[in-house]
Amino acid sequence: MRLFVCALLLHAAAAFVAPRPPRPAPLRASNDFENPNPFMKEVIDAVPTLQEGRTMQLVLGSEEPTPPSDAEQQKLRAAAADELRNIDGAERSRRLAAGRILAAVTLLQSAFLCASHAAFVPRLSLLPGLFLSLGLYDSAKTGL
Amino acid sequence: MAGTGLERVPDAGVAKQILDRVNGMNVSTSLKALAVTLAFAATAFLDPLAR
Repeated sequence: MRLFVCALLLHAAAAFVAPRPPRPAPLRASNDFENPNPFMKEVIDAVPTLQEGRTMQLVLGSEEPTPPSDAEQQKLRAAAADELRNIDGAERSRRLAAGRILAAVTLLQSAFLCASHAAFVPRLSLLPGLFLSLGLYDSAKTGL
Repeated sequence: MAGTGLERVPDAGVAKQILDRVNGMNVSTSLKALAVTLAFAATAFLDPLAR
């Protein structure tokens, strides 16, 4: 577990240190929007799979979409703008399913911690799983 | 952005509003997870066998 956490931290740190491949296109439709949070902009730019024109798959993955007609795209964008959401139904379903699986894993982990009479600090290890499952569930619920 | 046809936001104003909602959701999710985790961890003090 400790090794996994260390590897995860090192991987995250490496994303900031290693030279990034240039993004082929800015992550926006027009040139008048810039993420006002420079740290989050760095984080998002560090994820090589998140690029304009690609569709997200469970937060960090992505794939090349097969876009419908321009008229249909305009309709979808207008609907998304009305509801202030940025992920579609398929991705919401994926996130809900992943959130449920993670919630079940987190529940099992909490049962294990209770059964093994874990102390205060080891019980804090519930946080990452809980955060991810709640995050995926909220994301599926709100479409964000 | 995700979903066929949603890969580009319509305009910067909408993008900003969506970003604000995402930030708000991230904060509330973090606080919820932290609160539940602390409450769960505090149950260790109720367990006389906890080590």
